[in-house]
Amino acid sequence: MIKIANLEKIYRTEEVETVALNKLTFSVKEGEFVAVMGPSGCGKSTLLNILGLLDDPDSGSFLFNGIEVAHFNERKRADLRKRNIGFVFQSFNLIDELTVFENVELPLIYLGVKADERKKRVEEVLDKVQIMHRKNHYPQQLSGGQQQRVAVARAVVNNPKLILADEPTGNLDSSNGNEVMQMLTELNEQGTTIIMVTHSEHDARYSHRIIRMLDGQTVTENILV
Amino acid sequence: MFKNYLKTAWRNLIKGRSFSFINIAGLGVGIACASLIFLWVEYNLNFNSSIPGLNNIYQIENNQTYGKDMFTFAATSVLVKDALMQEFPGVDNVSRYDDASTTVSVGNKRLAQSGAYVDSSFLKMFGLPLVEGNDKDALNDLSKIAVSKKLAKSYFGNASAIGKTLLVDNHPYKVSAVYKDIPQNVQFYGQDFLLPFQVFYNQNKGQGINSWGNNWTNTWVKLNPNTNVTAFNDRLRKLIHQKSPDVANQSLWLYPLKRMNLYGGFTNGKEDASKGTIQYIKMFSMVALIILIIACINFMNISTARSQQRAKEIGMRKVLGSTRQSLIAAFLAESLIVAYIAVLFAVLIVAIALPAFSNLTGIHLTLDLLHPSHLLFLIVIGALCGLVAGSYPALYLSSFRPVLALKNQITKNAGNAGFIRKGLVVLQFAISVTIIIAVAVVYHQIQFTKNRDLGFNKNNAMYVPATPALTKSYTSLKQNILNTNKISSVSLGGFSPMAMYNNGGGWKWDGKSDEEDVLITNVASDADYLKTFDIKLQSGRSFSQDPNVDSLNVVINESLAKLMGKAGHVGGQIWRDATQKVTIIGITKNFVYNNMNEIHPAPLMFFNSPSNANYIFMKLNPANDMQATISQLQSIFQKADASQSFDYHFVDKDFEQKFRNQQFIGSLATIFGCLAIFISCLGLFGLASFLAEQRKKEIGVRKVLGASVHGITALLSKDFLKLVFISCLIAFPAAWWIMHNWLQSYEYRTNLSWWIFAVAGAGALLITLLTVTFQAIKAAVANPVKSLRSE
Repeated sequence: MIKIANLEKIYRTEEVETVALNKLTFSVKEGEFVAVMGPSGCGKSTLLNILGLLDDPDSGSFLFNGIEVAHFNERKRADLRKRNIGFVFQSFNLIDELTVFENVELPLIYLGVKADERKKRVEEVLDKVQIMHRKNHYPQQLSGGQQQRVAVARAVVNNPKLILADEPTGNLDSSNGNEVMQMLTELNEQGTTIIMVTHSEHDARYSHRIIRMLDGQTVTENILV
Repeated sequence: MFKNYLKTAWRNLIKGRSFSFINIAGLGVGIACASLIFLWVEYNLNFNSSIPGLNNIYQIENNQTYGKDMFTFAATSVLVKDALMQEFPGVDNVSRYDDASTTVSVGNKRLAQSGAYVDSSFLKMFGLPLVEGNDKDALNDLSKIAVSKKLAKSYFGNASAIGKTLLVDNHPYKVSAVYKDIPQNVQFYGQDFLLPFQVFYNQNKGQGINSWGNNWTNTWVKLNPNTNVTAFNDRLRKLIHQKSPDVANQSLWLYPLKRMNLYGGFTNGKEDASKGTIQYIKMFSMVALIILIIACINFMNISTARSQQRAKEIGMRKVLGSTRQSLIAAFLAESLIVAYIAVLFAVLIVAIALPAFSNLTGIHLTLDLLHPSHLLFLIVIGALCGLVAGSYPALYLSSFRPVLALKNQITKNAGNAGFIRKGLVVLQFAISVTIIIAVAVVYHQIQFTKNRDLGFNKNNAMYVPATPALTKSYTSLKQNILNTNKISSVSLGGFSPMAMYNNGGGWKWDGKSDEEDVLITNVASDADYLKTFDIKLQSGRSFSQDPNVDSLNVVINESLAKLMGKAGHVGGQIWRDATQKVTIIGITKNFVYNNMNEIHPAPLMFFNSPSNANYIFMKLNPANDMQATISQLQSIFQKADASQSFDYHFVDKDFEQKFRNQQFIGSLATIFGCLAIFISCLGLFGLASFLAEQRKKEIGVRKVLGASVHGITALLSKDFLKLVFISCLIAFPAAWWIMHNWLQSYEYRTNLSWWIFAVAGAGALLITLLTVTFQAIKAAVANPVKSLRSE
C-alpha cells in the first residue's frame, strides 16, 4: 500500500540545517499494523506527517497505492487525504466549538456526503466507540479517554484505508490507553492499515511490525509473531 | 457545509465575546458614521428631484464684465421674460421671481412671512402640488395670492382659505390657491406665499425697472425637451446687446436647475465646482470611507492577533480535508455575520444620533428601512465591510500549514503578519492624527477670522425693515428711540455690512480708462450710518443731517480712492452721465463687508439717500437689559406702524451665519475625528488586551525575577507608543499638505502653527498611553503564580 524510497526532509533556518529524514526507505502492506519507534528527534513525526500527506518531502519517492504522491500540490493532497486517511493524535485535536456529533461529522461534510447519510454513519460509529450518549456534548465536557474515543470515531467515519496514529495513548491513563489500542486492533482486524508512532513498548506490542528509527533512518525492523 | 460554517462562526463569536464586542462596536460605529453621511449626501443629490421636468428647467445667469473681472449674477432685466416667450422658439414657460419678506396680517394676527413675486406660470412650471385652487388662474390677477398650507392653517385654521382676504404690506389680496408646503429639499423651501410679479413691477415702476441694463429679478425658463440648448445659449448671449447696444458688458446664459444645489458657484463666467456643495459631498464621502477603513483595520488586526486561538481548529480542518478555498469561505462567512450584526448596531446608533445630526446639518433627515435605497445601502455596506475586513484575516488564517498549526507553532512563520498588523495600527493612527490636525486648523481659521478687526463694530447693532409708514414718520420715530436713552445711534441704510449686494458699473472719473468698467458697491445711507457702525473716516466728513445738503455727494471707501488714483480725494468727482455727477466728501478706512475672508474690500460708495433705505439700524447700549430694550423698541415701532410685525435682526447674528459652512465642516470633522480616534483606540485596546494575554508567561517569569509593576507596564506600552510616534511622523507632512491647500481658498487666513502639530501628536500619544496602560497595568499586577501554574 505504501512504498517510500530515499525519502529526504531537511528543515532549514538561517543558522541551522536539520536532516529530519535521511534517505529513508521502507514499505507497508495493506492490512498491516506497523509501529514506528525511536528517540525524540529521530524523525518519527516528520515521517507520519509525510505519510499523512500533511507535508511533502524534499526528495525521494512516495507511492500510495501505486500512485506517486511525493510532490502533489495541496489540493490533491487534501483530496487524497480525506478519502483515504484517518488521523488520531496524542492531544486528540477535537474542535472545541463543535459537539461530539459535529466533530465526527466533519470529514463526511468535506467529502460532500448528504445530511441523512451523514447522520446515519456518525451515529453508527459513535455507537461503536460507545460515546453515543454524549453526542451533544462539547469536548471540554469529556474526559481524556472519551475525547480520544471521539477522535478515533472521527478517524474511521469515512472508512479510510489507512489510519495514522501519533502517540494515541500519550495523554491517557493505562485503562483508557488499553481501550484505544483495543479499538485500533479491531479496526486493523477489519482490514484497515495502521501506522502508529509510539514511545510505549506496551502499545507497540499490539502491532505486527516495529520499525525503529534513529537520525532520520530506520535502524531495525522487528516482526512480531 | 455552510450550516457548519455558520454554527462555528456563531460559537466563535460567543466564545470570544469581548473581542467580538470590540469588532462589532468598531464596525458598527463606522457603519453608523457612513450611514449618516449617506443620508446627508442622498439629500443633496436628490435636491429638487421632485420637480417634474427638472432636466428642462434653467435659471438665467448674467455674466458681467468689469475691467479684467467677470462676475456672474442670477439677475436679469424684467424685460427678458417677454423677449423669451415671443422671440425664442423652444420655450415652454418663463417665470420671473423676486423674494418678498414682509408682514402678512389677518385681523390682529400680524406675522413676518417669506414669499415671492412670480409670474402666473410659476406654479405649473415647478409643479407645486395644489391642495385648493388651480394653477391656471391662481395668479392671473393683481388681487390674488397663493399661500402654503402652513400659512393657510396659521391664519384660517382648518377652514378653507379660498376667497379669504390677507393683508400683505397693508394691501388686501384674496387667496386663490393653497399649495402643499414646499419640502426642504426643493429650491423654494420656506416660501409661504406667492404674489403676481406685476405687483412688484408696479411698486418699482418709477425706478428704472423697465431697462435692459437694470437687473431687478431672477428669471426661470422651462424649455421644450427637444430644444437645442447650445444654440439657444448662443442666441441668448446676444440678447441684451441686441435690445440695448449701450449695455455691452452683460450677457445671459442658461444654467440647469438640476446642477444648482451641487455646483451653483461661478468664477470668470463659468461654473466653479470648488464653490458648490459637491466639494463637501466628496470630502465627507471620503471621511466615511476613511472611518470604515479604520474600523475594518481593527477587525483585521484583532482577528489576526487572535489567530493562535484558531490554529488547532484550522489545522484539523485541513487535516480532515478542507481546502484553503473553503476555509476562506468560512472565515468570510464569519466576518459577514459580524458585519451584519454591526449593521443592526449601526441602525440603533443612527436612530439615536439622527435628531442631533439633523440639527447640526439644518436638514430634517430620516432613515427609512423600507426605503429601497436605504435598505440597499445597508445591505451593500454590510457586505463590503464583511468582505473587506474579513479578506486579510481569511487569507492569513487559511494559509496555516496543518503541521505547524497543530503544534501551535504558527508564530514561527507569523513574522509577516506581525509586521502587517503594526503597519495597520500605524495607518489607523496616522489617519486619526491627520484628522485631529485638520480639525484644529479649521477651528483656528474660524476663530482667526471671527476675531479679525472688521473695520466696523457689528456688536449690538439691530435692524428692522423700513416700511413706507416708518420712513414717513422717521424723524419722530428716531427721536422716540433716542429718548429711551438705551440706543446710542439710529440710522437709515440700504443694507448692513453683511449684505451689501447692490452694485453697478458705468462710473467714470478723471484719468479712468474708458476701456475698463469697474463694479462699485452702492449703499444708500444717511448722516448717522457711519456713526452707527463706527466706520472710521480717513479724510473728509460724513453726510449732513440735512438730507438736501449732500444729495449729490458721496462717501467712498479706501479701495475706491486708491483705484481712482489722483482723482480719489475729498473733492474729487465721479459721474455716470450728465445727470449723475457726484462729489466725494469723505473717504472711509477700508472695512470688511460681505465676504469676511476678503483682505481687500471691493470699491464702495455711500449715497446720502435715506428715502432709498431698506432698513432702520440701531446701536443698542449693551449696559441695558437687552430683552427690556427690545420690548421697549417693539412698542415704539408698533405705534409708528401698527400694520407690521416687529421683525428685528442683529448684525452680529448675521456675522455668525457667515461661518455656518465652516462651522458645519468643523463640527462634522470634530465628530468624525473623535469617532475615528475612538475606533482606533477600541482596536488598540483589544490588541493590547490580547497581546498582554499572550505574554502572560513572560510577565510571570519577569515578576518572579524581580521586575516592578512600572517596568512591566513600560515594557508592554512602549511598542504601541513607538507605533503611534511613527504615525505622527507620517501624519504631520500629510496634514500640512492637505490643510495648506485648504487654507489657500481663504484670502484672509491663519498660518499653520507648529504648536497645532505638537498638540495633536502629544494628544495621540496620551490617548494611546491611556488606552494601553489599563491592560498593561492589569497584566503587571496579576499574580505570577497563576500564570506560571497554568503553563
